[in-house]
Amino acid sequence: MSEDDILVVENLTKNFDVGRGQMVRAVDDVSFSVKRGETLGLVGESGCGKSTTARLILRLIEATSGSVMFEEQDLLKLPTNEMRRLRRRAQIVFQDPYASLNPRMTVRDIIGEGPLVWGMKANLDDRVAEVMTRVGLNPDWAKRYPHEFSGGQRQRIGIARALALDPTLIICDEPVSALDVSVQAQILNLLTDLQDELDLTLIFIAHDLSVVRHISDRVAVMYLGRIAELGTRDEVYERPSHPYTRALLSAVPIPDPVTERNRARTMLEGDPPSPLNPPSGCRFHPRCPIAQQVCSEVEPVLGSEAVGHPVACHFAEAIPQV
Amino acid sequence: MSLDTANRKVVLSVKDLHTDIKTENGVVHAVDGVSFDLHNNEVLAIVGESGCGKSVTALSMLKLLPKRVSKITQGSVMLGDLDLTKVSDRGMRKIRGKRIAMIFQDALTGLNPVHRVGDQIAEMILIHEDVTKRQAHQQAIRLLDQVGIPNASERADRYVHEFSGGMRQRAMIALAMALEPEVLIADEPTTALDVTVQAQVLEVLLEVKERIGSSIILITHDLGVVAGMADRVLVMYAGRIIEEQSANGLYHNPMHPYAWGLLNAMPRVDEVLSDHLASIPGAPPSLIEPPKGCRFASRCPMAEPVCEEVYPEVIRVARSSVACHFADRPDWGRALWNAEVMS
Ligand SMILES: Nc1ncnc2c1ncn2[C@@H]1O[C@H](COP(=O)(O)OP(=O)(O)OP(=O)(O)O)[C@@H](O)[C@H]1O
Ligand SMILES: Nc1ncnc2c1ncn2[C@@H]1O[C@H](COP(=O)(O)OP(=O)(O)OP(=O)(O)O)[C@@H](O)[C@H]1O
Ligand code: SF4
Ligand SMILES: [Mg+2]
Ligand SMILES: [Mg+2]
Repeated sequence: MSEDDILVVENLTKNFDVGRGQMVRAVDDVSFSVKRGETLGLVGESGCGKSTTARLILRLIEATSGSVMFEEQDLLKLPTNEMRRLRRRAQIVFQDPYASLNPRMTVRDIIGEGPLVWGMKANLDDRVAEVMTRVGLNPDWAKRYPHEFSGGQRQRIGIARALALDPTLIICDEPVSALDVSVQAQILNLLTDLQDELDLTLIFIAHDLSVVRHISDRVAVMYLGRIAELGTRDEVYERPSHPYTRALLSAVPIPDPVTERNRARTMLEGDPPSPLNPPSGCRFHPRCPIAQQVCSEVEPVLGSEAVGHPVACHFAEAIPQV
Repeated sequence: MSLDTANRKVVLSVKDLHTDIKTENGVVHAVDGVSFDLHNNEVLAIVGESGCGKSVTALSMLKLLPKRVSKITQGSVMLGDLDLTKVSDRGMRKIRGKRIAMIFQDALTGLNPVHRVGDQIAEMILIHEDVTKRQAHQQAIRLLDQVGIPNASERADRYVHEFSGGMRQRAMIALAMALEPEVLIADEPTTALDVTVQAQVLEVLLEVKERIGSSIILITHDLGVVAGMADRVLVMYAGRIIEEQSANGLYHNPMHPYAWGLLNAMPRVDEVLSDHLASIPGAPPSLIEPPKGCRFASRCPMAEPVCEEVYPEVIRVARSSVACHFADRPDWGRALWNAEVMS
């Protein structure tokens, strides 16, 4: 664990037992670290294990194996009471601002719930007003209920709730996926500002690669429970080296008709396979445009030898850069 | 994209369409004076944020809104010389699928979960065409194969819930295109899909359109998808069309401040813009009692007192149109948005 790492995840694995002897290998041997004050983007298609990774880190579900070092302690080994103490400092913001806020609680009670649990009864209203102002909500609205707010405002409430306990780490699980572009921009700008002002560390989960490029310092690309590629924003977006990253990037439409219609596109075939029975060898091999015999037999390790940043592909160095 | 619509035949013409929806809170003027032409073989996109009236426009055209709560109060939808707003329910049943078809974001809206996928397509062909059951079934398999469903003859006997997301959308395209309709309305056809699958489905959509030579109305909120697919774009805001342009024109020269804001609020996968995105403050107005002036006024950095008072009429500029009092000052609008971004 290097000094400026706030979080180090090692060999994190989660198998869901779905009966009849079947296991969903939702997260499989995932390792990465997050530096204090940075934003790590976690991207990948539906079902690749992003939310499960988030839940494992915060111990909302128990891991099958692995370790999660947060501020120098292994969260997965902590007794519950100490875990609760640390969890104050690591918060989560969910995708659906509608589903994640209790409709029968006022905004004040939603935001104040955490501080109250921690015995911060004195000055509670001041605290609530302070975080509401910080996220751009009028503190006079504290007595209102979630349904009286628009989608973007509800997401601000979710962020205010996360901020109320002065966390150092916030995991945002698809925080803008349910929002319109104009409102999405408001929330992205807010997160950027909060991070600067409060020196927050963010893990930003999304399937939208454009949003992740905008907000992240480093990016991890997941495929079927594993990390396919991990690097700085520029390494991943300017020099993508896993065939999956490249295909994914080339599939994202660019909002410019001239660029969009003249670009070369790697079209992947089929859908991502089920994590119930992940393919042998490299999990991407059935859809990979450059797969060879070895790919179906040997699982590639996530290594930096080929291109200078971690890529899990037998032929990472062989892919010509464009 | 450079498709010149000036000389093309108009296949569908919507004029001053108004649709009201009754809700607990009052009457929502969901579509409030929408006009546009759809030309032969073009892809016309309708974009705009959630709730601006895109789906209600489409459903009104096909008369698929629940009668109990909705009403087309004004306007016409001309398909050739037939005004669809005046056609009976029975008449509409002959037109839907045959002359205008629709695909939805959720395949379970378009496909029946209790019938085999192949049977549904065959049934549709049987109703409208003079073929035998066997022929209809063979044709259904061919259609499924054409939209890229592997082992089409075996998959035709499956149910929609046995299909993956991408396969469902393909099957819905096969069903919609079975009778080679003149017009296909696609309402967020790929919104629920992963990007790699979205790319496949969009490709299939364009392929099928070229093969049968129909026109597409593509409804989406994804400006990236629009850039790759559309010849022309309508930008809707709060029940009205506020800008209409060729795709090229819109992306390189948006005229309405809302269109400019929208385009600059989107982060891009191919470049990093600034730390801050243009963000449009606030949210769209209620459509129960919409403001009398420009509906965008409360969020617009260019707004002046006149904007609150007077609804800006649609101005035609060459083959584009825009509804803004200050459409002739696009640079000014940009400067204001920029100032907003920096602050
Ligand atoms: N409680 C559970 N029981 C069984 N399987 C589960 C459970 N939770 C998640 N899974 C499975 O684990 C895999 C990873 O799910 P996860 O929600 O982490 O994906 P994700 O990357 O967040 O996807 P999305 O983009 O759709 O949110 C999926 O195949 C999912 O179906
Ligand atoms: N069945 C309905 N009952 C009540 N209100 C409705 C109904 N359908 C639509 N509306 C209202 O009509 C307006 C227009 O809705 P519409 O579904 O056309 O929006 P949209 O542009 O398609 O949005 P989205 O991008 O979210 O699909 C909204 O205010 C919506 O709340
Ligand atoms: S290891 Fe093989 S199958 Fe996997 S991504 Fe690399 S080339 Fe493709
Ligand atoms: Mg998720
Ligand atoms: Mg809609």
